[in-house]
Amino acid sequence: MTNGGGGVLICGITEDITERKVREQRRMEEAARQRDALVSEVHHRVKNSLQGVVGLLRRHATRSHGPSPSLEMAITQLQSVAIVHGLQGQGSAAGVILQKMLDEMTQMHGRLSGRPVDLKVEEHARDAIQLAEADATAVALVLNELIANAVKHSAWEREDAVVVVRVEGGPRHAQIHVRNPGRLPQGFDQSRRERIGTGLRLVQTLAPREGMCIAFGQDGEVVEVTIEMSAPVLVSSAGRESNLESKHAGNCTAH
Amino acid sequence: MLATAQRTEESNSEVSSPDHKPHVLVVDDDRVILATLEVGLHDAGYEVSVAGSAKEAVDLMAKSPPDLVILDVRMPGMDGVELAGYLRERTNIPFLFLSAYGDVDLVRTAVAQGALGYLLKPIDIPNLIPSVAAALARGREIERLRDAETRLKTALATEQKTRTAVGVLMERQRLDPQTAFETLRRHARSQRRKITEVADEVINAAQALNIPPVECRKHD
Repeated sequence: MTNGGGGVLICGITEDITERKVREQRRMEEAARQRDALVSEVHHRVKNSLQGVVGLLRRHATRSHGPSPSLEMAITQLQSVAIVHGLQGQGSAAGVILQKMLDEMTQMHGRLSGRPVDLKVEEHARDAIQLAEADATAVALVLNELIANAVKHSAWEREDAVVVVRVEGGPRHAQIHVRNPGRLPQGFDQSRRERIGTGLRLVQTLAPREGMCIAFGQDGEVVEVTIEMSAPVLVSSAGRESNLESKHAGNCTAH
Repeated sequence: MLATAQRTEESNSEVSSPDHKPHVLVVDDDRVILATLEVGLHDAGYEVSVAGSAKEAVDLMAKSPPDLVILDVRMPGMDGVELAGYLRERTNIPFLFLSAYGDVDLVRTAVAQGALGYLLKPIDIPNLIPSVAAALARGREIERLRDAETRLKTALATEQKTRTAVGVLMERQRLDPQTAFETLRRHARSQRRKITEVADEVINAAQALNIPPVECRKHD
């Protein structure tokens, strides 16, 4: 458009859409909140169902003649998965908080076996170490198997015998040590799959290929299993870390 | 489950043989399922490898080709159907799909593309073993048929060359079919060579001279 003198005229309309944008953002935040609430509710219900099955199995275990190791193992496996769903149902963290998971797990093994199973977590590791949701179930089953193994093979006849689970490290690189009084079998070699038991074969296959390695050692009269974890098994509060940020897993040859 | 489950007995006897453990590769992104299958199949007497992704499976197969692959349909990255395509086009390794109930339509399509069958989740090892054994037996049958087909094709090609060469000799030498064939055979024997090699030479010579060979339908 030009005016009488040939000058260019520009015509436009400006509208303030701030309010609309804010409304849109609020709607999206509300949708995200509803989605999270739904996911939490589903986890919660799955946990309740699994715990219902655990209850039924424990009833069978107490009514049958004498303890049944297979049934008790199945109960701890189901309960471990239930623990993971229970923590995912709380939904406040980016992942599953390792300390909370181990807290429930060590209590479970202590209750079921009637033996002392202690958990020691370094002060700065509390709440800071979180497992990626995608790996949490497999990691829980691995830790369950290792703690059950420690309880089963401990030299309980020794005075002050106790299974200790110790957690060290931080959100990027953490170590779990499972210690029990006893000795590894002579010639024990975790890399020879044909010569290890079903439980440890399960551990080797369950352990995520990246971000987790497991090593067995003898420390005097104590057997110590060390589980090292890093990304992508561990996540920070900001979400899943990239593989480039932590390369601890790449150096792992133990599992 | 597979329709060929009746072959279980034959296959189980082979599994129990210490000399030959069938090698099964399991591919699934769910480590709990991988671990369950690995321990269950190992206890049933199989040699088992596991892969958490299709890419890892391709790498493992290059190092040690399995006798059977059990693969999940839904995997991130290259999915089970794509991996099946790779197995069909690049290898002769038989495969079974592992599927959740809701994937059945997808699996039907995939089975139509060459899978021996599919196994439904949740995994129940005692029920799964007969299907794996049947799939291995079926895989061996297919391998035998493939070998027989190759041998037959070679035999047919040999026969075709010999007949053509006999035709050339009949035309050039004015021989009857029997004499032409005997001449070709005598020539091969005297040079300690295969009759097909000599037949090849005769055909090539005829083509060089641009004489269309007349195929002899009957030489004996």
